[in-house]
Amino acid sequence: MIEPTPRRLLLLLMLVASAGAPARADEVLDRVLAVVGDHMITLTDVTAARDFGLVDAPAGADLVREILPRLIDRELMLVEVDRYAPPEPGVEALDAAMGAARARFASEEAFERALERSGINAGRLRETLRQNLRIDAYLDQRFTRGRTAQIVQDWIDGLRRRTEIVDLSITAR
Amino acid sequence: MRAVRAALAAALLVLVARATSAEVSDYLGRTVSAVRLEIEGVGVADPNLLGVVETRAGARLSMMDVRESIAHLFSLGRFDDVEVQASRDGDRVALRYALTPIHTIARIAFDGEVERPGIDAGDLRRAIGARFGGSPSARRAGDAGLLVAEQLQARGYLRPLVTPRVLVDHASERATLTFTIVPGPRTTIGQVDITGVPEPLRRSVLGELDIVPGMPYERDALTARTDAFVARRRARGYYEAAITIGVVLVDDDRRVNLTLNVAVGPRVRVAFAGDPVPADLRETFVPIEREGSSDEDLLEDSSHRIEEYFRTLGYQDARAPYARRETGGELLLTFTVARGPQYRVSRVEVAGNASVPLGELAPMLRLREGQPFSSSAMEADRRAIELLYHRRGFAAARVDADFERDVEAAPAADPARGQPTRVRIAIHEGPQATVASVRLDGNRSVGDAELREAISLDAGQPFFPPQLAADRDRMQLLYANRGYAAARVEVRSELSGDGARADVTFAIQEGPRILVDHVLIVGNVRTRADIIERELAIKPGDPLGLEALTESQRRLSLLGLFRRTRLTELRHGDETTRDLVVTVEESPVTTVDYGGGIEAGEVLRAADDGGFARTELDLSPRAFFGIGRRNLFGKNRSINLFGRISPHLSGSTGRLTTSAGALGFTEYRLLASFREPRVFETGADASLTAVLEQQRRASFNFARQSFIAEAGRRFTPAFGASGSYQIQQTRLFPFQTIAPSEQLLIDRLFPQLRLSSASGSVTRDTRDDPIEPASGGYLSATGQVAARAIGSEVGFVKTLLVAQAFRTLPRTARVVLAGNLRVGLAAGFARDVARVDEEGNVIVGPDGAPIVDRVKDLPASERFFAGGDTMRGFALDQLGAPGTIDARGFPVGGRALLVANAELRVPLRGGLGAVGFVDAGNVFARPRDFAPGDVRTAAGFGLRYRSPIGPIRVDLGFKLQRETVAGRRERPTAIHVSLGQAF
Repeated sequence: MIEPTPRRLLLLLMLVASAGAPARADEVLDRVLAVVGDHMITLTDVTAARDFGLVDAPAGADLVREILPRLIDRELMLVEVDRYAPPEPGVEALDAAMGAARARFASEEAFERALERSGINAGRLRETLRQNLRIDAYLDQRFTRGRTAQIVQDWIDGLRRRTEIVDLSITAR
Repeated sequence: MRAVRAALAAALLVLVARATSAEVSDYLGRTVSAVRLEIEGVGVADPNLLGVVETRAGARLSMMDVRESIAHLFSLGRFDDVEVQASRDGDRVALRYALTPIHTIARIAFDGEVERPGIDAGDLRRAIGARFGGSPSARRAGDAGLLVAEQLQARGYLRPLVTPRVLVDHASERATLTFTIVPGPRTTIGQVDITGVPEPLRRSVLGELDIVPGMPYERDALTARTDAFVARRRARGYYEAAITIGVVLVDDDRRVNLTLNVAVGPRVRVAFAGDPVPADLRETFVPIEREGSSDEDLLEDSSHRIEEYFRTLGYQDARAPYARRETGGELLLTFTVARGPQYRVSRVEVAGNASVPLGELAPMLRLREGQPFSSSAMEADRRAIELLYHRRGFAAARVDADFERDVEAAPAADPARGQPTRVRIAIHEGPQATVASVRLDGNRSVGDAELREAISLDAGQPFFPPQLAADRDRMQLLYANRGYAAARVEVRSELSGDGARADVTFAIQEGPRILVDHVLIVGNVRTRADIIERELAIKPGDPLGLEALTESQRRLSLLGLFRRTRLTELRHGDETTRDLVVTVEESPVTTVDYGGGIEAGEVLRAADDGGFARTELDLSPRAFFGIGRRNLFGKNRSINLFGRISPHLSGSTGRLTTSAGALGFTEYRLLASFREPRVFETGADASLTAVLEQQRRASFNFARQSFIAEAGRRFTPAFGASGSYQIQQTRLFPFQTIAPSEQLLIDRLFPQLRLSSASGSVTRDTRDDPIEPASGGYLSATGQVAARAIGSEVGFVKTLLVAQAFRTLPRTARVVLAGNLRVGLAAGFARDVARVDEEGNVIVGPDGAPIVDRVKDLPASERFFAGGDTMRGFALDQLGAPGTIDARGFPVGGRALLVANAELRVPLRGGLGAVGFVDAGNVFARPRDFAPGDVRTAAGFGLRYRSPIGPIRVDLGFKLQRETVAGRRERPTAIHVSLGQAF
């Protein structure tokens, strides 16, 4: 029997470490997760929605199971918003929304890195927030009284039934 | 030992580090070493795909580029999924784009129990095609399966199991969609109960509905039967008939018990009493049959409609109450109309118009003295005057109008002339405001001068608020056309204390200017991308303007290559750029047309006695066939073959006989053409055409072969020009009608003739519709020169000028006044021709020299003729001034033509219309022979029917002066049947 000297033990551990390490695999940078009508939703759309709070989701929500469906609903609502053109959000409201998005990050550098990871810039983020405010304005206009989450959801369910939605996320899970 | 622990810790760290996958951040900023595109694992080097990928080898990796690349690739409409994968390549990163193509369903198949009764694979395919289109994506397989299940349920298989599966042919990227069908048991009809009708009648109702217990339960067929039952009842006056079907499934859905609730309702009859109601309006006033109801609301509305109708005729006190009486299953509705006296306007008094003279207001008024009074006309006049004042800056102007019996007017001697009615219009002008200043705020990209030119408002003009809104819209449109899609313009006005001056401010928020980044063309299978690109009025780098988009869409549609075109914007990272996606759906490249019909018209024929000309109605069948292939080689070239044949019956009786020559002369035309748009990269379209034809005219028949090369260009939507070269060989058939002594020399010397000519034309077309114009005009001038120098056997010059105008008469429902003028002039170039005998030998004179004749006329096929379509009181080619008609009354044709037409086109009902027309003109032997006294005239009327293939017309023309021709008085009328308008 060979005595386990420290040097031999070290060599053995390093061999195990290198053998047990998985081979370098291709990393998915981005892909199409869903198609709503003619509009596609990508993986970076979902990560941006999570990072910048673009949809109303609990902290730590699963990207595909919880955030993607909310983005699909958002796309459906945007079609209606574009059709009926609610009042434009004011500059102050837009600035406040941008400020809230920035405040989710500890520093400006962290905010910029998050933008870079998601492949968007501040202008695109601002435009997305503007669309969110338009959706809010449209919902206020449409459901003037008795607006409840259930009523809005029933309406969205109706939009889903009328729209071709292709969920490619199944293969992404 | 310490060293062992440290080594252990280090190894574990390595293990953990190795086991954690890389973050996206690990790749960002690294240099891209390679970019590879793969479709289902196979590398592709398609430059169209590589060109839209933004990530480049040698550049630093940016997720923005990755997102944009995915957006571009996805927008091509070729891929179901796009995935971008990264792997470390030393310090760099290699990218792989994995593309999953859209597989369209090319074939639909069914297996399983498809032979079961009621299951028709063809019907199922048609249903799928109707819902998902001709080539659905394979990813719709699930939805298609649901549709098939619905169809089976409608046929009684209430629990079908439909399993779709897709088999992809990766070589063609097409797929076969196969449905495995297990229909399950077919539900049958069990018990059928009928309510709402007496017991003795239930069996007959069941029989009429053709419902038998035990038959399959086919929901749609059942609904169709009940609908037909109801329709039959309503056609017999039972307007309230209805059937509702109650369904109860039993026996584990194998049987269905039906309850038919039949409501027959009373048989409804509508009667009118009292003053007469026009018969053609009764159904409009009382639409019981159309609405299938006789409820109180409908009847009250009917009463109001009748009363309002009579009020518009001046019967202000008109009443039309209704009464219901139900007896023995019949409901009698009686509208008793009491018109009352008719009110007539005795005078219209206008007061308060300090700023606008009465002479300016009076022409606007509909109410006139002596005319029937109508309160709706009075209201229209009130509104018109108010609008006039508002337009003049009297923003607060108010107009009141009322009427009363005019006690001062003498009562009409005849009570039928109505009650004299005095109308009073009182105008409260209020202050007049003018625009003191117009200010523009916020415009940085578009100058003041340009914006002011776009709007009509200016200082000194009357202040009219709707004008402000119109100007605001114009300004916004100007910005939209410049690429400022988000531009917003608000207009504010501030009136001075006395209300006399208004300061107007246009507050402009320009927003970002959107520029086009990439132009992506999608859907073109045969058409080359450059053919599409050259029609686009918008290129990469251009502003994304509304006008340019519309113009691009228009030009693409005009190509005639696409069934559908769509231009959409694609947003990506940058707020100020968009990609333009041009999606086209190509039309079938091959078109086949065919058809037939009857041609009818008055023609000249030689009478049996003496061969004199007489007009006869000629009916001849006509058939045509055409086949075309377009978009040849993807370059919008087209080739067409067209043939038309029209045999004419022989003999003056027009009977088709079976003896030799029974069919008489057959007209035909065979045409082959090739068209090349934008030839040699110019704006001109070119065509080459070969024609073989044989035609019959009043006094001669001819056969011709010709070849035409033409190029034309449209410089503006209205103005175009073209030029052509034509070579033709024409052979005249022996004249059956004109005596040899009266034939023109040129026709005797050149029974066969080669003509080589060049022609040019310019046109200006502002008609709103080339087939049924209601406005605009058409001008064209064509000149043709045939010369021996370019290979023609005879030479001539010929010109034809056409001018048309169309106007819709005001205050009418599309009544159109149409005018047409055609002037043709021609002159032959003199040519000396040796005379020949029948064997073709030159005839010499007494001096031994050949006898030479000088010919200056045009050949028969090129001379002008008129009559028929152009002059509808005359048979085809019948028209002619003295010198152009031979002794037996057949036209010889001439070198000058003048035709003028005026027509009033009145739409009637549906596609039917009527016309009245006056035609004038003649054919003259030579231009200098024109004499106003020789102009013939005709008038008449006709009917038009707007068919799917164009207007069909029947015209009856009357000669206004009948002359004696060849010893016989002309027939007074001529009838013509044809397609299309006369002009």
